[in-house]
Amino acid sequence: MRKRSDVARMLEERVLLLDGAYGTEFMKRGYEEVPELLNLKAPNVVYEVHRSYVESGADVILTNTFGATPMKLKKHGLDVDLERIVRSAVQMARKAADDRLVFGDLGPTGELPYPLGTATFDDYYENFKETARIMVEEGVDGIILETFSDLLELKAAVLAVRDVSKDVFLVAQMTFDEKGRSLTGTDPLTFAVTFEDLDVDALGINCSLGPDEMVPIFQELSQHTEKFLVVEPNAGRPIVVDGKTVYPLTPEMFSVHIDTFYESGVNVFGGCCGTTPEHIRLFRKVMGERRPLKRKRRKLFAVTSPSKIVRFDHFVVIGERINPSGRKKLWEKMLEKDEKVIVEEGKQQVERGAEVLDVNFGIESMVDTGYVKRVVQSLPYVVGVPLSLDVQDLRLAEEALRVYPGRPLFNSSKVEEKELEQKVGLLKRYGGVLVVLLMGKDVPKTFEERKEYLERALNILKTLGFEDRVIFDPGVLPLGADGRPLEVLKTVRHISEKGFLTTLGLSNLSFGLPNRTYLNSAFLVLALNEGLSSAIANPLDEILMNTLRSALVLLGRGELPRVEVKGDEIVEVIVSGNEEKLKKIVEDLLKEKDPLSVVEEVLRPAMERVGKMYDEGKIFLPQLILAAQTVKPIFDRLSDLLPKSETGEAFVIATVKGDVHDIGKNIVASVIRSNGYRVVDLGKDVDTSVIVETVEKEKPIALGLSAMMTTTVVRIREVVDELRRRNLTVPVIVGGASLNEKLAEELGADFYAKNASEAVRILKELKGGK
Amino acid sequence: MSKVELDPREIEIPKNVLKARLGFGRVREIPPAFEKYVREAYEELLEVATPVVLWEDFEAKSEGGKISFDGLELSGKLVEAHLLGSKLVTVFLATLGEGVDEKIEEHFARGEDLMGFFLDGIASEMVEYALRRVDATLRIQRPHLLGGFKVSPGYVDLPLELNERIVKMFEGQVDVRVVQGSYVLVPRKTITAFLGWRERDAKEI
Ligand code: B12
Repeated sequence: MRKRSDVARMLEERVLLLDGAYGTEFMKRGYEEVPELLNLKAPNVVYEVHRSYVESGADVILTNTFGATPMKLKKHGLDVDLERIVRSAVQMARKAADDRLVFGDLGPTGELPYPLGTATFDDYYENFKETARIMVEEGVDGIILETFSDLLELKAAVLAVRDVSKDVFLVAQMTFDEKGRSLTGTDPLTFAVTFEDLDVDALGINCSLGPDEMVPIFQELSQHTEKFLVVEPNAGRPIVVDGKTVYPLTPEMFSVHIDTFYESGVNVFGGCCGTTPEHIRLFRKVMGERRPLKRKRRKLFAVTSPSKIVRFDHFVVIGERINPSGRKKLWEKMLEKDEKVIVEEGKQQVERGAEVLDVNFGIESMVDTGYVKRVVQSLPYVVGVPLSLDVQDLRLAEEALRVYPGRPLFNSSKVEEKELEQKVGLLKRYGGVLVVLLMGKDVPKTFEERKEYLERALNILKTLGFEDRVIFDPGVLPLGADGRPLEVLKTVRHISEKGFLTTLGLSNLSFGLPNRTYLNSAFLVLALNEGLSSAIANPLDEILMNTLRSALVLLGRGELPRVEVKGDEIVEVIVSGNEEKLKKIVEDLLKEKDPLSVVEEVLRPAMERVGKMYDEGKIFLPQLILAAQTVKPIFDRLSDLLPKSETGEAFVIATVKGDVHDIGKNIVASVIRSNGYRVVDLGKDVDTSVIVETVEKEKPIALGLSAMMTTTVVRIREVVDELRRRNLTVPVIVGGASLNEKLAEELGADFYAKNASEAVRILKELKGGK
Repeated sequence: MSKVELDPREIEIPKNVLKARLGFGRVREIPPAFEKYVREAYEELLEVATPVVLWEDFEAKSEGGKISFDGLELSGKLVEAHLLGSKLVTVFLATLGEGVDEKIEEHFARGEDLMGFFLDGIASEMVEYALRRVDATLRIQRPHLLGGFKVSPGYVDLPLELNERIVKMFEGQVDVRVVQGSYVLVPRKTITAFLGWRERDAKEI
């Protein structure tokens, strides 16, 4: 067995090649039975196929054990032979491999997790542990978990392998459909974020899709993980020819895609269904000797369930209602091990805007551990959203974290060295994000005390290497018990300013008081203003939720998800490219307004909203272009409606180098022209030297520069510097979406104009001053 | 020196690469309203594109962090990572021809920005994949050599000026020019690249 670190070192040096499919190769040789059985019945055939891949140039050979786990073999009555099958498989691969790597191959059980099926975390775990143990005893160089279509099953397999050996190289792979989802709803981002926490060496994707379809899914994965990356596409999607399943991609067609995977950061490349030794031979040639490209992980803070990822880039409501304190009925149901009631509580909250559900089991010593595990495993599948595991007892917490399908919140740890260390230990093992409560043995009352706790917590977390996986809760105490809300607010601000996320157990504040809703709502608004990033609250409280929504808008912090936005007719018309309809709208407007007002009051604000939609990813570049193409003739027409007289002094205008936005500049040019100036329009994307030379030649009353992007406004400074260098004192007026008064001044411009009319006013002043 | 003229219909551009290139990277499918424009643009491109790929091999020597071949001496980060130590360097030039630029210009001149943008994007990928096709064929034909990562002038620290040299190398073979000062290639849908080859270890053959 090669050491984990040795395999990692090989991967840092070179992109390695895996082998191809086995099933089809066995069939070609006339063996139609369960492939794992061949390890006993015809080990020479297994050896032969391995050899054909070694000779084709594969660097890594997978053992013939995809289905060699107790649950899977049982279906063929072969479970009694598990041990012999796996040992023979590893030995054959080793014998064929020479000095190539041998990875033990493990596929999924084919059983869905409870409640979609009946399998529990423990079923999966025991199943994989058994095979992994034999593989490690036989000395594999790594273990690859392939073709998993469920997050929980894969997590169980990972933990099982790691419990067998800390020193075996481990690859975890999922399979996705063409929409980029696994069977139980996981997308590559959720996969990456969830498994980034776990102790695996490489993540990957295989099966289901051909290389072309797999590219975007692979790229999504590669952007969000620092682990090594493996990919094994199928040789296209299977088609049926003469009643036989055939994979259509020839080695040549397949290998065209290698560069794309390489450029996306692949470390191990191979083939899945339908690939043959011929494919691998060609891959070897095309891949050649390449050092893997370096990648950078996009950092994002999120929690996950199998089918949902919740990022903390907006305010997150954590539903508090699955908590039996003060709710006798719920408590009784929990004691009766009733799961339905929990699902109902969960669904209601999600419908009202909770994105994460806090789950608290009350007096934990009284509830059944099996029940807790079933709820924690099944709730995310049924309700869809991630959980915040609000569990105090360390042993129960471990059980819950272990069986949780995804990356949960873990609520919470106090700032005590031992407790933090233990809880961080659990999360490092099982994945998740920790809520750190800023209190220790005693409960702080003041900001200063909380601040001290924060410092202590950060110190401990730093030594544990865990600062980027925490959310801080300043700890809210009931008003009735000397709660001092202002101290909490100060703490929220302080934590936010330090760049950390925050949460609050909101309802604690009003505990035991009348009019709780109003107190909670008011406090939430105040905390939002201090930068609060999430709250554990009651989403069924309508006043609270509506207050929250309004406050977020007022604070410019974006909306909660699920809020419907009202239709914006003119923007819809523009974005869908309906020029006829836009013409009609503008014609109607012209009955009431002059052309310039239509531009400034209607069209330009509409285009600003279009820009914002683009910025927020609501529309895509082609839609932005179509929108521009649609409004441009309208703007041109409106310009034409302005009176023309071009006899006066010259005005030079241009859009700066690197910037192709010219709609606004054209409007400004037309308006200035209609005010009697002779406008020299140099167009868009204009070289600084051309601008300066024109100024020198035309001696204009002023120079107008348009720059629309943060990346192009700096060109203004370049033009100004060049003008000054040549002793040209012409006043410079600038405008455009990314500019403002202050920035314009910093860039050395003399004037900033928000729109065309302002530009005209400035020109008049200049003339008057002369 | 070798030259292949490809039928543009034979150049397969992966669907998803195209999708991303045309600005639909974050959606699963190109929305139907845009699909017809894309198809139209593709058809037009097939009419006007005349893909040609040229290449030539040079024996190369590496010394003191520099690689030299054909009187050229290259160094820097990109060279160090992907070319240094190669015993052979292949220089590539691929172009789609003048007709494509004209067609793109035509659209922009008529205010059909979206068609212009789509045509431009598809053409950029087509010339890339034309080159990749030849690159892959070469790798297949040279079992005793291992090809590295293709690198192009203008990336990282490989100077764009090299375009001038490459164009000169293939002078008379194809109608490609370099704009003075900016080293932009005309026709615009033209790309250049270097590929280094290493001897394969005996055991790998
Ligand atoms: C239409 C548009 C485009 C069109 C431009 C078509 C064309 N022929 O102009 C296309 C699709 C080509 C485009 C491309 C891009 N765009 Co654009 N685009 C816009 C959009 C939606 C509207 C601009 C517009 O025409 N408004 C209508 C006119 C009438 O208003 P205006 O331009 O603001 O002009 C008025 C005033 O600013 C002022 N003014 C303007 N210039 C001058 C000059 C002088 C002298 C004076 C006195 C006054 C003045 O008076 C004008 C009349 O009132 C803006 C969004 C926005 N908020 O502006 C984004 C926006 C400018 N684009 C943006 C981006 C990022 C891009 C791209 C990089 C996208 C991409 N991924 O490729 C490319 C860049 C291409 C390039 N190299 O320049 C960003 C810039 C972000 C930033 N801070 O850097 C914006 C802000 C959108 C956003 N929020 O993300 N875009």
